[in-house]
Amino acid sequence: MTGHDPRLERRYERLLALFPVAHRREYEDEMMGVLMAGSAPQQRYPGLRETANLVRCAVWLRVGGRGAGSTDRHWAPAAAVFGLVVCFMLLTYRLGVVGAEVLGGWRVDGRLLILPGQWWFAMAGWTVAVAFAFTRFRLVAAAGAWAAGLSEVAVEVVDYPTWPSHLVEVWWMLVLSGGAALALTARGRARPQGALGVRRAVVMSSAFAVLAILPSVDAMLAVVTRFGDGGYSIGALGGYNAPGWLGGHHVSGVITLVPGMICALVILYCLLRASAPVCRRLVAMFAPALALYVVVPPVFNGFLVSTQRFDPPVLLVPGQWVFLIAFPLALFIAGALLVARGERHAYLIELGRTAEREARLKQAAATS
Amino acid sequence: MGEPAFLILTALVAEPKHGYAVIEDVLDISGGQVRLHTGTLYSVLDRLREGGLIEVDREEIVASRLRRYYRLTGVGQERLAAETVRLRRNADAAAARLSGFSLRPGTGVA
Repeated sequence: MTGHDPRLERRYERLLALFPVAHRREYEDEMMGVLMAGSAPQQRYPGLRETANLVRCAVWLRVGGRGAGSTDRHWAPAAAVFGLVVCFMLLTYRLGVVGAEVLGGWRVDGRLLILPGQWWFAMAGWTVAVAFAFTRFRLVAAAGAWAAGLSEVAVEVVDYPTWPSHLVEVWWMLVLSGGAALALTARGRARPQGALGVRRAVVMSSAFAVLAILPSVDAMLAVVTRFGDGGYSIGALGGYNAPGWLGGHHVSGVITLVPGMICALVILYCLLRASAPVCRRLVAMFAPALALYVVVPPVFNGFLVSTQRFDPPVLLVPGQWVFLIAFPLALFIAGALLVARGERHAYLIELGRTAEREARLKQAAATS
Repeated sequence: MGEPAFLILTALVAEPKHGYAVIEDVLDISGGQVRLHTGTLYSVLDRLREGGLIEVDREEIVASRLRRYYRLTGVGQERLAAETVRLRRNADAAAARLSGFSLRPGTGVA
């Protein structure tokens, strides 16, 4: 390759610059090597057909055609896994609440609660999202997640003027809902079982299914105690008593807590068994909601404690809205940048080691 | 599966190959009919990697440039075998029909 005109290489470089950054990062070196290997010794200009092909492929990749290769290829499977897990979490949560409240109410007074329409809508949406997340019907899964997520948001928006503290308390879940809908929209052709493996995807799904029915089992096995004055209490095995009406509380005892904890660990294990790049991206995607879950109670402590004491309640000020919206966004961007930077460093280090090994081998061969 | 993907997978059956070796082998396999251009090659290689049909076997530094060798995966082998059967079936069907075909007077080129 030493006989090649350096101007040819520069011209190829200009053509390769038309490709998306991610594709260049992954293949530019190789492509340049192939282009130079295929050129004639004193060639100064790229061939017409080669040029046309490079331009066509670059444009095709730029407009999102298939084969948009990149080191970021791991984002799509990570998004598929994230979307599935969050939809599963939210569906499991809804099913758990419904099971506990409907069966708990039935145990107390023999009547079945009529669930709000939004609950059915949300459960249907999450169910569609979960079912189609395993398939290549990307838009159906995304539509289910968007419908369910927006219905959850709509309920909070409607209740906000009278119950602003609840919006703040569940903000992390709303962020998760939005993130899941976005992830299922952006996952492309990736499916979660591709990243997790079919067996682990089945195990994880089973763990979520168990988590969904545990509160119902707890409610069915709970002890209902009736008092002479018409009052009653319902106590789950090993759990707390919920005196009077359930008041929106789960009836959760050891049946929910212990096997529930085991199921959660099984899910975590399945996620951690995904490849390291996918795991890193999952951490970046889960971090905003987890950070909100941890940070919001202390940061908004005064608001959460006092706002409902006023009539009407005090609403969030612009600065608090900015924090709630900007904090998760900034955290995700920072996480994504850290992942990209860390992997780039690891890649360069590996490349350097390979070159060093190569040089040593050559040196050894030369001396012998 | 398009023709370039089919030919690239075929080129990788025998042993892992780097990009330029794939181009040369595809030219050979196709009897000089298909010369893959670099843009096409790396678009298809990327898509095959994404689909798990091929994977990187090893990397080398040659003349200060990265050179990757790609190899066929088990999934790739299965897909190539299935595609081969499909193409052979189609080719057999076409051959069978062509064997009993003759141009009727006035319907073809003289």
